[in-house]
Amino acid sequence: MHLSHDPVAESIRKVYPYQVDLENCDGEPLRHIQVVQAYACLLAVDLEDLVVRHVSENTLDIIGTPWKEIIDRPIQDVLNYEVTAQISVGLSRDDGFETLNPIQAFFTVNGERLIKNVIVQRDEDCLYIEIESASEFIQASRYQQLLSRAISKIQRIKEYDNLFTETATVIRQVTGYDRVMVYKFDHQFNGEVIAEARAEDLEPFEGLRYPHTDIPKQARDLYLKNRVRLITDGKIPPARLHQSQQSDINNLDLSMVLCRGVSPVHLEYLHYMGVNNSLSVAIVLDGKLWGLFALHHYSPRFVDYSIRSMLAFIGQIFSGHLSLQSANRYRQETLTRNLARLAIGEMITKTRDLFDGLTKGSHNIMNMFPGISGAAIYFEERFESFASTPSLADIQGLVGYIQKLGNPESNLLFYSENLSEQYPPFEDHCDDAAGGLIIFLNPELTDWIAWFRPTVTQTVTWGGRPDKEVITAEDGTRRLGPRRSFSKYVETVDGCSAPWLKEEVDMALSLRITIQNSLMQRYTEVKQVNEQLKKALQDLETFSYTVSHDLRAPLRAINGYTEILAEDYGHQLDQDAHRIIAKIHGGVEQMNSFITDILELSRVGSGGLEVEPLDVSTIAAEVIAELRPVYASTTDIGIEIKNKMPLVKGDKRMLRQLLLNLISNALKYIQPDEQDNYRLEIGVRKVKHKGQPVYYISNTGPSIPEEYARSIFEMFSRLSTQSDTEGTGVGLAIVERIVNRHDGEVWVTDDKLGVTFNFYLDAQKN
Amino acid sequence: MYANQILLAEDDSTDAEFFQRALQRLDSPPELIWCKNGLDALEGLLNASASSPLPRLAILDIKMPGMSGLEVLEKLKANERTRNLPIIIMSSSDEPQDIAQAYDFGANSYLVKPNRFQDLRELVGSINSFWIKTNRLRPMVG
Repeated sequence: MHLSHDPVAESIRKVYPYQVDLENCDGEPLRHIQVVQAYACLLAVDLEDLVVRHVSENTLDIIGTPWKEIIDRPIQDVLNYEVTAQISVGLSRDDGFETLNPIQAFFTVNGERLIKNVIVQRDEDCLYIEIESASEFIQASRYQQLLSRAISKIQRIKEYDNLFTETATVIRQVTGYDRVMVYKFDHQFNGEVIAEARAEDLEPFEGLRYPHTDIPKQARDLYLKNRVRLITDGKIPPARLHQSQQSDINNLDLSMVLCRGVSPVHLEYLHYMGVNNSLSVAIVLDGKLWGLFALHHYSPRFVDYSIRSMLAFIGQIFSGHLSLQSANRYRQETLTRNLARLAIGEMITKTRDLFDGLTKGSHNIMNMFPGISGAAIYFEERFESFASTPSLADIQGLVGYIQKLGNPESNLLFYSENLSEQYPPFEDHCDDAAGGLIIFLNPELTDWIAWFRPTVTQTVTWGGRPDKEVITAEDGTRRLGPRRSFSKYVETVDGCSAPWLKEEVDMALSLRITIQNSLMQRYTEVKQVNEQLKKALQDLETFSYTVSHDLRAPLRAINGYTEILAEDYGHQLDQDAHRIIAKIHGGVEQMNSFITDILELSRVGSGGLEVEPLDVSTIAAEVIAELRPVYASTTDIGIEIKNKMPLVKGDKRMLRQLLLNLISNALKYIQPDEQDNYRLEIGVRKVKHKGQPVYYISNTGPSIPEEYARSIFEMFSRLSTQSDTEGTGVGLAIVERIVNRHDGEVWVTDDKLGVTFNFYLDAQKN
Repeated sequence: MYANQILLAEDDSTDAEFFQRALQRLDSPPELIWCKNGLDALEGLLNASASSPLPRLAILDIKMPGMSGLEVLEKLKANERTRNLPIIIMSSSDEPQDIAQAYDFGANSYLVKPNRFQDLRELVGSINSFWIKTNRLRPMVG
């Protein structure tokens, strides 16, 4: 903050009716500044009666008539017939005055007959008539020639990068300005000079940035209405606008007026820049202000209206060319990237594995984007990372943050050029993961692919320190002054990555769609396979049932005939023959147990459950009574069944089978403990599982090695170390099947007496 | 009067032979009438007359071509003349629904075919003696 004693600023300010200060700077009413530039005069005419209601003070200098003789007079009294005739034509036309402008007419000023350009525009209430000098040197043919040469030059430009410099050069040739710059806005409307053509003795401005405050929003909006803006001479005081007593319009809106007065802030700005004359041409792309052609001249200069319209036209040609070129570039980039995406898609199909498809091929997630520091994928609990990425835990932290954010764009995609700004823990990863792009492979946002970009230390060269000054005037009012310093100011910006371009984001989105399609396809396939499996299992159960039955008949035949052979012809056979007969019986017996077990297994799989409350100890006692003669006839086994076990809900037949198999299994593999005692215990554990009592059958003997603890429940699995013990290997498979059908679990532990089988049932639902 | 005969409906000739051999080992074995399928057995029993009286007992296998043992059973129990004929279903099946259905149709007994010949012999012995005794207790029909 400082006191202003600047004579230039003071003199500029004097003529303006507005005080632009801190309180109204954002809305600095550019279009309501009631002055016009000295190079032209303005007559604003009420459309209802065609009487002049506003007039600029300088009419005497421009058209030879004092303003007082113009105000409140009908237009035909002020302007000669040639002009008013054209105006009435324009008023009756649909396209208004566009094709009529400029109307050329002679005015007598200080006794001299001068040709002037009359430019007419209208809105709903008013007709705005501007009269300015017409250059006698601008002949129609010369104008045509310049324009067509400029256009053909621009259209011949092939390289996107040359477009700007070439166009600036063409414009400089046509206009003869000291400096022609192509000034491009970024998304925050900071401007950068991306190309220029200048007189050799001038300092280059190319690469300089200007803060968005240099061209405030209301100024940018005006560029969309009037594409060309001429400021002829900042030093000549502007002409005040006078208003009729009869007019009900206070503060005429001058947004359409070409010679609209310049904001004092901007004039100061130009002054500090050393520029005396500026001409700006808006470059509009897709309805938005893309940038400007900014023309500077260091001495006063007037540019004829025809040349200015030509520049507006060149601006349009340039916009068209620009959108064509950027569309081409987008298409080219998309095409190249699509090839990579297609290659990945093909790899997914070929490997039949999404994860491998995304990671294994020569096209994979790592080489999808340029300038990547690393990529990582987390899919169905598989993780793989390429090059340098944060750790899985750190990325999951970021993913957690995004999950909390939700999925606002509902496109399952997140990207940022500055991750740590949003998610501070990533400050540690600023070097190689300053920016990130993440696509999510499921709506729960738990599976993802992430790409990271390193930090780019950006050097931004500002055309002077990018802050506006607050100036306190002598009377104590505070106002906003423009920046005064245009000496280069270099700023280093850290923590941001190179931007994720639109085509890159689109590419990630289309990869996500490819993945989703392939997941959908896989889901359908899995579903089909599942159904086939289910059918196959049913077939197998039917099959094993039938086969077991059919197998019994030949077994009975073998058994029966062997017995008959032994009984009826036994006396004719020697001892060896009898031994062989015994072997046959043994084999048949074993075969029989197989068939019985397989039948039992297929039975457990099919048919409904009849669930009722059952007493485990009663059934266990029955089963033991049945088994004891078979297994414990020779060994003395201490069997204990705990009393007061809770009832269990289950199918009686199946629970009986379950206990039969577990108890017979225990009796089969029982070994004495250190005191040489054989013991078996059936009881219930203290801790419930999923709210259900856990029953156990424990026997003395060596514990089952952990690696077999699951596989013993598989069909036909028997511990090889105990291969001499009889058994079919189906018994425990039946146990697991019964438990599964009751929505329960069975597992082995090595506590209690030694080996313990535990199970719980949870059959309420059935 | 009952003839001193047992009718066996059995499509498996091996099982039939075992049954025959087991029967022959009894002290005074009854005559075995062997029908190879259900339909033959049903016709034979329904056409029984004074000249060819009903056997003392019919033993039916379940799984037979044409007509199953359970169908034969159902028809015999529905017929006035054969309603009281003792019928034993003898099958390799120990499926609960087969057993339940047999008793529903009025079978007097359901036996699972033993795997061992020795067991069969004992079973046939008890069948013979039990049903001879049972028959004596009941009034003669026919």
